This record gives sequence, structure tokens and C-alpha cells, in this order.
Amino acid sequence: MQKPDVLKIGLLINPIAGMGGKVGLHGTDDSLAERAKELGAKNVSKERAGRTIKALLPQIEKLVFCAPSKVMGADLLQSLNINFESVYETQSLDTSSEDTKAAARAFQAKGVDLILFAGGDGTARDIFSVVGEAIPILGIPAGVKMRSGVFANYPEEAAEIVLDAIASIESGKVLEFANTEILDLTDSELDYSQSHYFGSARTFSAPSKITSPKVNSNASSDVALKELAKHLSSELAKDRLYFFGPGRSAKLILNELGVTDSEHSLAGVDALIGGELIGKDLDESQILELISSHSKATEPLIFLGVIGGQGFLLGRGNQQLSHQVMSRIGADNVFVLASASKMTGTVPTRLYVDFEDALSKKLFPDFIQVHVAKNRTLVCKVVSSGFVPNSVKAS
Amino acid sequence: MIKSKIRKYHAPVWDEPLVMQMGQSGRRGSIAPKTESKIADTVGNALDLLPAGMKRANPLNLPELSEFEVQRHYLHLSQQTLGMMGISLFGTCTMKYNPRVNERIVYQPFVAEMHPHQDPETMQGILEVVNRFDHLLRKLSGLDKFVFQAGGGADAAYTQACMTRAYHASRGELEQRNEIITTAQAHPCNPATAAAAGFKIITLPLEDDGFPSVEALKAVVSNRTAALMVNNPDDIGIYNPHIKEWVKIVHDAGGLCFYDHANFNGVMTRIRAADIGFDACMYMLHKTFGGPKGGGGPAVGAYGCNEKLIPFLAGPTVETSADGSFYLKEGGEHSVGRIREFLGNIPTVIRAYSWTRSMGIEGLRDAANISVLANNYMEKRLLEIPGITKGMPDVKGRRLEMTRYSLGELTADTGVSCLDVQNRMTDYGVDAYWLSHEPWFIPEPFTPEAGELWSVEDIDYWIDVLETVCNEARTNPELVKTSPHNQVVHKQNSTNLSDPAKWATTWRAYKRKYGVTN
Repeated sequence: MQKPDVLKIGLLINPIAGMGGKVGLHGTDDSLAERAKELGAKNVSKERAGRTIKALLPQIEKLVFCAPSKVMGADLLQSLNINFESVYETQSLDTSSEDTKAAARAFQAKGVDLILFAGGDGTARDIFSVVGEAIPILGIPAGVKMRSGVFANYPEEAAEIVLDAIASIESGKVLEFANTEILDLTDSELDYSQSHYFGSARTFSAPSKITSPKVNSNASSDVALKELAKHLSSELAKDRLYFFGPGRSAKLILNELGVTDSEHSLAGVDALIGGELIGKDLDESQILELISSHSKATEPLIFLGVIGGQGFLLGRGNQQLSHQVMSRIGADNVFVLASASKMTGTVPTRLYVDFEDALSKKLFPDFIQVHVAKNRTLVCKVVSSGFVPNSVKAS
Repeated sequence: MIKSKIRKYHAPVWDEPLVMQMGQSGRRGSIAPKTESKIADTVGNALDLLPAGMKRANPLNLPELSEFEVQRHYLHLSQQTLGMMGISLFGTCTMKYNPRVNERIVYQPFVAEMHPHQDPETMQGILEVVNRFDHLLRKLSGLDKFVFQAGGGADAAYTQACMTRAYHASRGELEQRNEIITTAQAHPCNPATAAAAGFKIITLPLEDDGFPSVEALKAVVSNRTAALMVNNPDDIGIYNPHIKEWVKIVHDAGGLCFYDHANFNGVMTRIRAADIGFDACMYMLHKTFGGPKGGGGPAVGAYGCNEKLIPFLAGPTVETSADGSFYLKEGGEHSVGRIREFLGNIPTVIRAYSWTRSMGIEGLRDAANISVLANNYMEKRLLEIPGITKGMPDVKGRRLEMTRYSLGELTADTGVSCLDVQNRMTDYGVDAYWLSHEPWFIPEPFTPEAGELWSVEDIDYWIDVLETVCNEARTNPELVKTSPHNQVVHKQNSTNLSDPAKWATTWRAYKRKYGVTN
């Protein structure tokens, strides 16, 4: 570090990141952003970046910020009365991948120690394409998909990582960095189950606070999981409304019912009643509508998978399963299934829940059971955003 | 730092064909003399004495060799093993020397020639040994009755699963109590046997401090809980200090508690299963109690339980009459039935009894202390080797008789895996080490267990060999990756191991799958 008592941060907010989540678009890259706005999507990244920056306020005088203009960072810092050096002027409010890259080049010219950005995999890729391994990258999770290994688990934890770094510098320690994967879907097709590797970026070494890169699905090859899916498919009640979350694990049950991959949406939320697929790739409002119109005699149930290597149950690639949706369904009606190998790769085993609203009512108990085979569960501690992950870890 | 002079080693390689492919038609080891004419006249043709149904239609396809050739072949085969006498720190298996005097005892006719259907009155000595050993284990565990039918640790765990079923069935609660709770670090035989007995399995994850949290247990215990099945310490040497509370939580919910005491060596005479509150436990006589294992002899899982569970024990049990004699009692109305035929592997019960008596309580305590001390000595030296780290390094306190390590750093630096290192160590005449039970929480794991047998010179030598191999991984990684080079067989292509069309474990299967016509 050139200046031992100060960390120079390049702050970048991708204003359109994450907008596709609730409306079920699986991303906001390129043309999807327009579509998301048409569907009434709201901006999420500024609010999430704000959570991080607010958590930095106690030590803010030790930080020097560089930020691009307007929605890309300046607006937020100004609203919090934080001084910063303006480094790049955006041409319009509808920023693009080119704006992100230009801002990254400007950060590089200013010699920032760290690029802190709010966005998703697309934003991470754009920044990485400019700075490579030269500047450490830390992501405030604000996108739809966040498969790359540069994102903090929650906005507040991004701040904790920076605060830890300040403490390390002040105590004369060398900051520890680690190399991690930049992952995203390929541009050509939305093969949801497989991530493409775009390169090795540098980020802080903070394994408990930074989400690991996503591991590609192995659900199809897990015999025990397939057996479980077969069992579940034979036990479905006739008149109950079932939802199937994104990912291969939950969709295995549909496969067992004879619904082929082209008939359901691998990346989206599907609904089934009486053996009939009644909804495909649903967004938040469509899911709520289905729940409202469903007979009150039985409660709906949702089958949910877990993101391999990352441990996320909600808040990554499935934002349409919002706090409102999940509280209507109820924690008792969430059936989580995942391959055993996916769940046992790490100690401690955690399931992360990250709803957009940090202070929303806690939905899940402290522990839930993940079904890894017929009659076989693994107990997992649930860590929910806004419920002070540190105190959970300390218990 | 390497302390000893690393000795040269090379295994003998005979490369002999299978015994079925050796010899010549008509060659014999020994030829019985012809029946004398007087006997033949009196008895007639011996074959005619056999009932027709017992005669073979076709002669057996046996190898045809001279006695000398047979001796030579099996000598060569035995030379191609490490002889179960090397430095074998095969963790979780508590490798021990099997005193030859105990082998001499079980070769005696009163053991070796005992008939399974013999009248109990004619085997009072054997039954007395069983009875006395039962009482010894009661003292070590605090439990009320031991049986020795189970043919190994997993068989004893299955016994427990069946006992759990019988216990709850007798109370009319079996349908409701269909869940067995275990932990991610319990031996996989616990969930496996519970599942085989028809239970649902709930597995608790490890936390940062090395064992599952009390809160996790509380979150899953309910009126559906049938039993808890756990190891403690588990096989990474971590003792769960909350175990009494665990047992209480499960008991309060109406479940049973089973202690898988596979890792008893470091806590012998220090803790008793019943004092902690467990209803039942299992010891492995072929590990902790000095019986042979690993192809050296038959295993025994000694299963013990408290009064509450005695009515459900498998029969026959050995009981004492008023006159002091012993008799066999079949299982009663609630018994789980037989676990195994007859009395189980009695020779190993006799070996274990002899071993335990010769050790005495003081000896057992010394052995427990030495095994913990030896492990902590190893740990200090091993962690000085670059590339080796301690599994779950944040866990506070000392490990007991085992520590799980990771070669993850060495692998990251050199590409050499824990399996490569394992192979290469055998090039120095050292037995392969144990890696880890599934699932692997720790990257590139290995788990040595020094126990009380090996001298400090042996332990140092083992560490020196490992350090030598770690050095080789840095200077010549290909040498390690392509090992073994000095062994009977070299690195095998394992791709066919999981292909049923290719594997052959019998001569008949080999002929069929590989089209051999002999």
C-alpha cells in the first residue's frame, strides 16, 4: 500500500444491475434492461450500495473515494455528504457496459487501491476486462446472477471487509488478497446450468464474507438426488399448488413427471397443479397472483435448490422469490433439495438468504433441513441478510 | 527436519501367474496310499458309501501342482505384501501388534476344533471367557451387558439400529419415531445402517469449533426422534465437550443414544459411555482391543447396552446358572433375533480378552495416554513440514489420538495429491496412510494414528519418509505422481475399477469376462 493510513477506493454503481430479478428476466445485460423497465422493475443497486457505504461511515475519514458521475456513484456519495474525486462523466442515465469500462479505466489512471462496485456478474466482467489482476475488485451484491467469486455475501459484509482492511493497514499488516474466478453465462445462449470462466481476478482474502464462485451443477448425475426427485414426484398431492425454483435440482422433479427441459424453464420459477404445468418462468407478480387464486384448502409448496459452491438459497438468480412471495408461501412450505456433494464441501455449512429489503421480517428458522436423498437430510444454519450474520457465526 | 537415514527399499516382484494358470494336468501335492485289500474287501468301494446326492457330477476344477510349488507360490505372494508388520499409522483403524501368544491360544484344539452345535456343557471354558470379557467391558463402559455376535463395527451399528426399532416398536411408537440423528463426522456406517433399518437420517453439520452445535440438535429433535448415533471423539480427534447435554436433549425427547466408540483408544479408562448417559455403545475388538484386522483375521463389534435395552438383545446370550456354570439363552419375545450365526467370531473375543487381561487397567490407561501423547508429538513435527496444514485449524485445544491434516497447500504448489504421496510412501516400505471418510471437508486429507505401539524411532521414521516425499514433490513432482516405483505393482490405471464388465474378483468371472478358455 502506498499510503499506509488511507485506502483509495474507486466506487462504481451499475444503476441497471439487478433490475431483472423480480420480473424474472435472469439479468439486465444489454437489451434486457429496457424490457425490465417496461415490466416495472425498480432500481436496486443504489440502495444496496448505500447499505455498504453507510456501514463505512464510522471510518469514512480514512477512505478516499473516486467515483463516476450521477447514478454511477456520485449521487450516492453526495447524498451522504462524502467527499470524492469525480473521475468520469456518463453521457446519459441509461449507462452501458462501455460506461463501466470507461470508469474502470479512469480508476486505473487514478491509481485506486480497490474497486468497490455494486452490480452483478456482467459488471464484474466489464471491470475485470479493463483491470485484470492489477487492481483488487470487491462486489456489493446487487445483480441478478452473482456466480463470480468477488461478491460479499451481503452489502454490509462488503463494508466489514473494507473496515478489516483499514484495521490491518493501521496495525502494519500486509493486506491479504486471493485470486478468484470471474464467471458468467456465455453471451450467445442462456445455458443456465453452466457458467463460463472469464478469468482470474484479485479480491480480498475473506472466505467467510466473500461468496465462493458458483460450482456447475452436478444434480443430473447424482443418483440419490434423482431417486429423491422420483419419490417426490410420486407423492405430489392432486390439488396442491407447487412451485419449482430455478436450477436443475428442483426441475429434476418435473423431469420425473415427464415434463421435458424444453417445456419448463430451467432458469426460472415454474408452477404445477394436478400434474399440469400452469406457469413457466414466472415473475414476482405472477407468482403472487397464482398464490392468491389458489384454493385455501391447501397451502402452496415450493421446491428450491441451492446454488452450488455459494450456498445461496434465495437472492441469487431467483429474486422473483421475493420476501413478499416467500412470506406468503411460508417457511414450513419450503422443501430444499440439493446433492449431498454440493452441501458437504464446506465447513461450516451455511444457507444464505438475501432479500432486497434488509430489514424485512425474518422468515426462516435458524436451521433448516436440506434433502440430499430419499429419507436423508442435512441440517443447515440459515444466515439471513439483515440479521447480523456475525452474531450467528459467533454462536 | 529429517532425523533418520532413509533406508533403501524395494519390494520383491515375482510376477507369477494366478495359481489357476500354473502346474500341469495330473500333478499332485501328495498322493494317498491305495486302500489295503483287506479293508477294501470289508468296506467295499468308498464312493459307494456316499449318498448318491452328495456325489459330484463333474470333478472340481482345482489347480494341479506339487506341494513344493504350492509352498513357493504362497511364499512369493506373502513376500509381495508389507506383512502387517510395517509402520502402519492407518488412522481410525488403531493398528496394533497382535501378540502371537494369543494366536497360539486360539490355534489350540479347544478353540479351533469347537463345533458350532456343540453342547454348551462341553464348552464351559469358552463360555466363561465370553462371560468374563462381557464383565470387563461392562466395567470399561458402565453399561450392563455385552454381546459379541456382530462381525465388525458397522454390524454393531446395525445391531443398534435394529435395537432402536425393537425398542420403539415395543412401546407402540415405531411409526411415529422414524428419525435417527447423526453428525457429518460420524462414521458413515451410522447413517447407512440406520437407513438400512428403515429410518430417516438427519445429519448435523460441523461448526467452526469442530462439532455440530447444540442449537442445531435442538432444532431437529422432536417426538419423531428415534435415536442419536455419534462418535466422540470423531475421527479427526475432536472431542465434543457438550456430549452430556446432547444425550440429555435426545433422552428428554424420548430417543435412544448410541455411542460409536470406534475411537476409544485415546479415552480408554478416561470416560465411560454410561456415565455420559448413553444407552449403548460399540467397541471394535479387532482395533482397540488387540485383535488382528485388515485381512489379518475376522472382526468383532462388541455391542453393549443398559438394562433398558437388554430385553431386545440378540440371542443367544451367555448366562450364568446358580451353580456357577454357563448356558446359552435364546432371545426373548422382544429380541431383535440373530445378528450372526452362532456366537460370532469367538477366537477374536478370546484374543481381546487375553489382550485386555494382560494390559490391565493401568496398562489401558497408559496406552490411552501414550496414544494421545504420540499423536501430539507427531502433530508438532508434521506441521513443521511445508505444505502440510492441520485440518480445521481454528478448533481450539489439543486433538486426542488422531489429527486430520491437509496436503492442500502442497497440491496447490506442486500438483501432487494426497493419493500420490500415499503411493510414494509405500516406495519406502511404509504402509499407506488413511485419507478421510467421505465426505471430504478438508482438501487432500490424510489421517495418521500413532497409537501406543510404535516407538518414537518408528514414528520419526514415518514422518521422515513423509517429509522426504513432500520434498520430492517440490523437486521432482513427476516422480511422486507416477509412483509407486519400488512396489510390487506400479501405478494402476483405475478406470476399469468401476466397470462391472471389466472387474473380476473370481477365476470364473475372469474367464467369462476376458474369454479365457482354460
